Amino acid sequence: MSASAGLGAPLLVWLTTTDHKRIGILYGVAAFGFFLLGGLLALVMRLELSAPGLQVVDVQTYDQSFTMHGTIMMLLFGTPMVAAFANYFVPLQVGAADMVFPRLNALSFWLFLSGGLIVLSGYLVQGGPADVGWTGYAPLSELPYSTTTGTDLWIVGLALTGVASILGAINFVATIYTRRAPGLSMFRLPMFCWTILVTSLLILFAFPAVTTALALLLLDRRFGATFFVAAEGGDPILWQHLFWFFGHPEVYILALPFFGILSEVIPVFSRKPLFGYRLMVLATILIGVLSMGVWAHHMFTTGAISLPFFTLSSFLIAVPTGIKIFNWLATMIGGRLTFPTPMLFATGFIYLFTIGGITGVIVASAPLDFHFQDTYFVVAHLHNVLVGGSLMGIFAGLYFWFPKITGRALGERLGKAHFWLWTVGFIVTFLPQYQLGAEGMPRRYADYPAELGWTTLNGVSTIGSGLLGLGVLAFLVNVALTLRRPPDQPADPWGGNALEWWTSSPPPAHNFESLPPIRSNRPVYDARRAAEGGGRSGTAGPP
Amino acid sequence: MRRLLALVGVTSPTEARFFQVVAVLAAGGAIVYWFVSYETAGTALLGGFTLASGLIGLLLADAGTDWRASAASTRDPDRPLLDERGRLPSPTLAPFAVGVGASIAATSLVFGPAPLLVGALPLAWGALDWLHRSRAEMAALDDGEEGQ
Amino acid sequence: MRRAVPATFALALVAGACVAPAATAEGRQIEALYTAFLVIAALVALVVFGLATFAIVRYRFVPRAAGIEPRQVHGNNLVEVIWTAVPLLIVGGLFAGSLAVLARTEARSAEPVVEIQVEAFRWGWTFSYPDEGVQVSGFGNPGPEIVVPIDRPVRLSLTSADVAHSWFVPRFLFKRDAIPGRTNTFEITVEEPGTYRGQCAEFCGIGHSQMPFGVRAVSEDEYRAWLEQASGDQG
Repeated sequence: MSASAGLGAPLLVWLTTTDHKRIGILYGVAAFGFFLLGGLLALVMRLELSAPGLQVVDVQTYDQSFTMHGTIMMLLFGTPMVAAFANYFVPLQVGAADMVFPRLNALSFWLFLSGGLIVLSGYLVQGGPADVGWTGYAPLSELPYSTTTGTDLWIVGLALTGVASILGAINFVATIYTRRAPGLSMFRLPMFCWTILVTSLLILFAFPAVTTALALLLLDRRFGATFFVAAEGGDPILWQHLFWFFGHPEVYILALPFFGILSEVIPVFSRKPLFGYRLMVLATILIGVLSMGVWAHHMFTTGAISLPFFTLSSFLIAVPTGIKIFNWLATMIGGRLTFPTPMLFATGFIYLFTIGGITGVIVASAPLDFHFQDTYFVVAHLHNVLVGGSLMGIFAGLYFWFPKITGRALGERLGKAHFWLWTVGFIVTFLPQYQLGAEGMPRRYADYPAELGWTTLNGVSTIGSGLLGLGVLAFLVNVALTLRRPPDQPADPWGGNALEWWTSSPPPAHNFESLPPIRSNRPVYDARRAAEGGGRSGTAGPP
Repeated sequence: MRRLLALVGVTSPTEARFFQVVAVLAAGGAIVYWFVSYETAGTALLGGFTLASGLIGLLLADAGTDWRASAASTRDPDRPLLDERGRLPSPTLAPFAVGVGASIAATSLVFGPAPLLVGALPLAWGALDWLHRSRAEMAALDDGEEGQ
Repeated sequence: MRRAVPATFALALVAGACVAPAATAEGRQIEALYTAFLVIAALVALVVFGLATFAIVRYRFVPRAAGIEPRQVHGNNLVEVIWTAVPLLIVGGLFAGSLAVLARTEARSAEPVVEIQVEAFRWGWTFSYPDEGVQVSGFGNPGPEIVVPIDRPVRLSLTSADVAHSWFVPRFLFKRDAIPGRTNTFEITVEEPGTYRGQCAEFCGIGHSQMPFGVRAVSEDEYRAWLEQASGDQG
């Protein structure tokens, strides 16, 4: 990487890179770009819903907006954001120089980015992008009902991003299995790596189902097949089975890695080891396996599935999830807690995610779901888990690891402003939606009648979404200001535990000049203690 | 006998046991699901999950001495760090060409054969370049590491 | 301030998300189950928020603790077993409650008094009373309105002419999907006379929010009178 002038050279560096850290940054930047777009679509929808009547967009545009919002947030932001963190930090945490298959890794990214752009290219064709909801339920997604070419592009683009995710998952499993540093046994792996391992397992076994579904749908739409056409002997329920067999594990693909980030952040700022490490590993595996057996709780109202089976399996997943929350709390209790921004987001996660977990148990009960299914209660629940959970975890991870990635620490003042805007914004946006759903407001309505009394709460929710937008703005300003400063961060600014804190910030191309002896799951902590003569831990906490 | 024990998970390394445990849990789920629902699509999906994870678990457990040796060596914290600098691939445009080429080609499913022609070129160039480089690296690796 | 935030959460959970009182016998059971869930939810939330707030307040770093490392506790088997077993018992109880209500909502009476066939289409509904030869169909606002007798089981058979829809009456706390190629059957017993607004709950295209319908629950006599008039109109 020479410091040659001109724009071509740096561009070529990024196009030709096989370095997991650069690929991680590419994933992160691309995913965040998609996030901003998905967020704008959300704001458009919230504006439209702030009052009865159609003020901002027409119904077709509204339908396309929630389709693209859901698709972008789940598959073009959430999943690649997991890949971003995993790319950057799995090799560092296992003490490796790179992933096992660096070129395959680059291919994953370019497939994801091209697939994502193909999904978005629906905005350029006549008829606009897909208008079938991110769930693409057949037969609404069949040709007679969704005539836009955007839906075909949605299918092709998503299939490509699915392939990218599968290739990435293979790479993560192989890296964790074969590239671990001397002494780093499986039960000394950082929790983040364990969660990525289980997440990769879910990707490997869940994504093929949706890829199959998309392929069948394309055959229906373009080549005259009738897999989901009831009148021709097809079965619309089959689409729902295939989609949700992927769709529910996908929710845990967007949750487990951020559980992992919390398990990294909380011990560091509590100055204690993670409480109950082995039980945490077991809980992660149980959540993973159980999440493969709960898909049809999205289908309670179809009358086509076993209600008790999916009620029980969905309830059971609350147990290992509860274990995680209690283990984080037990890590904090008795510790020496400091609250820089990453820890604020981690703590906020515990509060907000708990609400989402509890309401998840409510909608997991089939008879209750008869009322709440497809209402704003479900919208509130899923955003509670993804915004109050996953995104809080994403921001905890970004503030935590930004010094490692760039050599610069994000500003604390703007970080705290971001946290409070985001927390209050979340509460104001989504808690009213629980009430709207309980009153029976269905989701995916571009409009609602004034006389049903849903106007006030919708207005409140729209105000909250503005606060969330301001929070993201604070984050972007923070990043822009921070990147203008020269890098000044030491290898281990927080007093970290895992191997990424052993090497310089940012790490050299080959990651490590040396490694500490690894005799526990906190090698950097051990080394710090040894250097201090085994006495009191004087590592300066964050200011 | 030792091989058998490894295959059923008793002595297999954690890496293999992870997939074996997942397969056993998945099998349990698939069986219960079939008998409470008699629903084929879901049972087939759970069965596929069981088979795939079980197969990986068995293959890992049966991967032979290579695996065992490397598993043993990761337990030794004082083994020196392997310097992998020379083994990292040099920057290459091939993954970009393959990824973008394949994606453009895939839109043929929507737009007819034209994008296939556009995408095939970078796809073919990227794939060939990729193959070429990996072959050269394999050869260099064989020459350089005869002793190991 | 720090304590106020979690307290607000807990209050929002206890007070929030109230459903309107159910008008059917089945809906009342769902409502009762929901209330039980909310009470347990509030208790669980109080425990978690309480522990988190305790940790934040009690173990916050203070300057006099500088340089002192907290005790490095790696785990405790007893408490880990407790917070595995207690949630397991709780969800076991919730499952039992859910099964009991399911038994009611999925029950089919031997001889329902009224049978109604429902076909959803883009974007409206057709309701037929096959025994009485009455049909009500319509789209747009306010949409078609059906009449049912109170305190009698009414059996609805639901299907769709095109894409998936969902028959949802919020005051019944109940919905079921109308799926092409399938017939879904369920029963409701309206206990409170009145007119209840229904709507589509499964996304079905641009008219999705514009296909309401009404269910008017009346006494047996009024129901008979309505049937006679309706069949007369159509005959």
